[in-house]
Amino acid sequence: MTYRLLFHTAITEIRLTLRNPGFWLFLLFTAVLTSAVCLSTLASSPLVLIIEITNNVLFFQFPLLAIVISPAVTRHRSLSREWVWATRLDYPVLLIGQFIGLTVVFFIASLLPLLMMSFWIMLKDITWVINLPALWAFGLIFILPVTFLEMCVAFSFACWFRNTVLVIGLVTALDVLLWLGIFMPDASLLTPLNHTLLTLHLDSVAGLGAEKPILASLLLFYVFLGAGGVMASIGGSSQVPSYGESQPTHKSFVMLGMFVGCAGIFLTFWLYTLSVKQSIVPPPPLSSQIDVWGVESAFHNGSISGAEISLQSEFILRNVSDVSQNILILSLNTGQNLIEATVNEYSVSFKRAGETIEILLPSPAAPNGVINVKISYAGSPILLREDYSLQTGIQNDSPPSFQNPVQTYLDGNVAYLHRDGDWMAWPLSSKPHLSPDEVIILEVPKHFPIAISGEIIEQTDTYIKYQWKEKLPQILLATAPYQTVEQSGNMVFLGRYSDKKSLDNAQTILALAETLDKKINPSFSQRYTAVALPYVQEVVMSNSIIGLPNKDSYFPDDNSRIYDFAKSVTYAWLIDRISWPGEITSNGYLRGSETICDMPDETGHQKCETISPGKHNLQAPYGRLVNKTSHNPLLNAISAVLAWQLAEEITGSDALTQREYEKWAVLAECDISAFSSPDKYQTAGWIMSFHDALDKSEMVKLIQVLMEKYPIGSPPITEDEFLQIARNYENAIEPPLPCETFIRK
Amino acid sequence: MNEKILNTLSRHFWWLRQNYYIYRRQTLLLIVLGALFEVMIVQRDDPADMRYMLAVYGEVLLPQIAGWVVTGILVGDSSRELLFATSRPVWKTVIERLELVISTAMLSFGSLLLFTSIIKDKESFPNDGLKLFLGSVVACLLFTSIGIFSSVLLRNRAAGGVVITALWASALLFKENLLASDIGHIIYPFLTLNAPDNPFWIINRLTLIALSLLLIWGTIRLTQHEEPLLPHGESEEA
Repeated sequence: MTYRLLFHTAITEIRLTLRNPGFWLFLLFTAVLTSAVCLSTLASSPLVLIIEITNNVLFFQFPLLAIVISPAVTRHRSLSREWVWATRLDYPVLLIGQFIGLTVVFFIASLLPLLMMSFWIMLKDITWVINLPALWAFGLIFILPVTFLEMCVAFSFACWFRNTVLVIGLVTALDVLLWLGIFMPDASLLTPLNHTLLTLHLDSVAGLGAEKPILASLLLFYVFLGAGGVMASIGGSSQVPSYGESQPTHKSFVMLGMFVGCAGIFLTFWLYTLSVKQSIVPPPPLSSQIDVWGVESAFHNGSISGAEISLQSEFILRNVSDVSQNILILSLNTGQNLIEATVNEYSVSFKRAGETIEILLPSPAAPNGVINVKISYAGSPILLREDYSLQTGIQNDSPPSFQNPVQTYLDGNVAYLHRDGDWMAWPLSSKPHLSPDEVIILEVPKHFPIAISGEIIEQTDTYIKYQWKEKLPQILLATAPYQTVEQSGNMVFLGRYSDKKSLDNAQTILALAETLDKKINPSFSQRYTAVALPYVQEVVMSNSIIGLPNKDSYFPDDNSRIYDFAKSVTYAWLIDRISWPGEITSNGYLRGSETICDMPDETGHQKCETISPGKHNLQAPYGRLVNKTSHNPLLNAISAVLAWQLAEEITGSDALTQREYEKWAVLAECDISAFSSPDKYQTAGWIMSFHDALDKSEMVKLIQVLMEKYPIGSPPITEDEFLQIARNYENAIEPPLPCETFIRK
Repeated sequence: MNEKILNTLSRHFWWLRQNYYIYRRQTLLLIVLGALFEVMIVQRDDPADMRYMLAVYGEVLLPQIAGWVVTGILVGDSSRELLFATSRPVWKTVIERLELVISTAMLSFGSLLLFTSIIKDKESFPNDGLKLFLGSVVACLLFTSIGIFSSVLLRNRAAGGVVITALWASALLFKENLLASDIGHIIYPFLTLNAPDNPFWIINRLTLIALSLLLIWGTIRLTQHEEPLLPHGESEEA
């Protein structure tokens, strides 16, 4: 009887809502808004588009939902009051029925933005039609739970306050405060428009991937919070006797709903806080041993099973510092746990310290002393949000500064292992993780296409065992449900959610790499495998494998796009072939920090103050040890000049090069008003030196010499050594003058 | 002559008072919201932060809620047959109620500014209080005029509310797009919040006032056609 009553009430509410002009205007404006978002979103990736649409629709619809929903409840106080009283209708059942009806209507209405998005995608021919179901699934995963929570809030307010104007006023106030960021970041959990959804990163290879635990718990929390809140409001408001409705007879029904809601709230809240904790960068170790240990030999043996990797590693390490060492610090992903460790055959104690493991040595290692370390460890590597998401803060003005390159990713379907990734234990080092005698043996499940640089040593129906020896390339393996495409002899592995632009970008990167090869070594010819890497944000060149980044930048024209990729390709190419000095540092500014500088005085001195609000950066609140190789001015300058040459060859135009040259020329004069970092001034100085002193062929010869003298694994090149080599070709070349006047405190 | 003016004003205030009795809950909501914001604002010390909060309340939140309240002054009145049955023109009642809502909104924001300036020291209170107030007046006038016009035109309160909310949310969401052009600066309703030093500020406010007056005039014209505004069978469904 109760279920029949619920069914009929729900059907009646659906009919009434469909007759409400406000509902049809709601649909009209949602359609207009979605079109406007599609038209105004510069990024063309459907994965970015869906996040933009979701966030905008969820904000936009909240007051509109309140406008349509609240009269449905408040009318029981006026228009239908006598009717409810006369029929002795069970008030909670009536409200639950109404809520079900409204939920059905608005859930169906939630399909409209996705429908509009699909039309837009097909009209602009952005992606393949086969990807649309996946995009719909992503859209529904985000929209439905948050819409449900918004409906629940409006419905609950209407139950308690029974005044439409008050409900709409409160909902609007809540919505505007959330949108304008006034509640941020304190209320970031309880708001649908929080950091998690605003900055969600959908990956073309891994999909929800690293976001899955945080997102699933958050959305489930919303659902339970909404359901529990509605049941509590229905139960509570029907106890108010002054309104004259009939008294409830199905109290247990409402109580059960409240109980399930409350239990769900606590469980999902706990899961969410757990995921949030795991995604925060842990504090760095108190003492760090950067470049203290030289790895003389390394042997790793392990296997991958689902999202878990287990490894046994054996190292011979030499203390290359001037002091004795009592402990050994190894970098290891926070998701992996050390099971046992021995040093010189003695079992030793160990503890985790942030992103490292501290092993207590049985006896101090003297300078130049050698130790033999054996460890076994296992776990599921965690990808920290700092490394891939939140490119900007809520005000779009605060890029992350404690970001390390993504070099490890593992889930049930996707695996990406880089030679220098923290999936494999290694002493803290600013250099590539290479040793004169190194072997890795890894057992990998056999189910998806794989781009791999190792050789097969064993194979069964379920797994393949690979081996890497000696000079290891950067990309060891990348496997995922890839779409494979052949492009003029090269293989392209695209992510399963890739769009047509990803293929264009892969083709451009391959063309640039081939042109660069021919330019530096005309007799050398190589076939490439280009593989889309999960969450990686820059091109990775690794011998014959090119790692494609997950980047969705907006370019005004095709030449700008080619130029941007040329910079990435030349940089990655130089990193892969020449040994550059690296720097591991914990210096940096927290996200959300502001630097305020006074005007320079007569001597050019300028006082700057940096304020770090701290709590705005929940990703890396304690800072972090990061590798700053990308700040090397000499490397950046060579890369930029080489990219100009490459882009000119491919596009046949020097317009962009001229514009870039003028930009750097301003910086090279140490113009403080141009506001940049000292590294940038130095880079600009080197660029001007190259541009003025070296022609194209001299630049190529110089790079050939660097490749020969400073191969990967050898001691890195210094600026003085570079100058000596460069002066063999052009005596006039001068190093950039340091900008003495620029002082940054 | 003076007596005639006094009589007219006295009659006008009598009508305002009568309407206030009908809308005292709604007007109270605007005052309570102002008080809640005052609590949030007094906790801020940075003048820029405080100005932001004041502008958010005065130019963004208050006009939207006032606009929604206004949507009900004719089509939300369950006794509007009586209004149409009397010899007094309906537009007069509409204008009086509109005036009441706008005055209450202004009272709410004016009190907020006044109390904040008294409580906080001179350094932390923004130096463009008058601009904030005028910006809020114009935004309230605009959104209330849109609210009354759309609700009377569509003959449905919820529909009027949806129109206001859609325009309001669009102005927030597409801020960058609208402010990218000169014409956008002229019609953008939240200019005091987003670009207070813009040279188009005065032109913007004058344009919005003109637009609001046009919509109010349109509403007066619509109320002269009484038949479609009567609540035929509405009570069975709404």
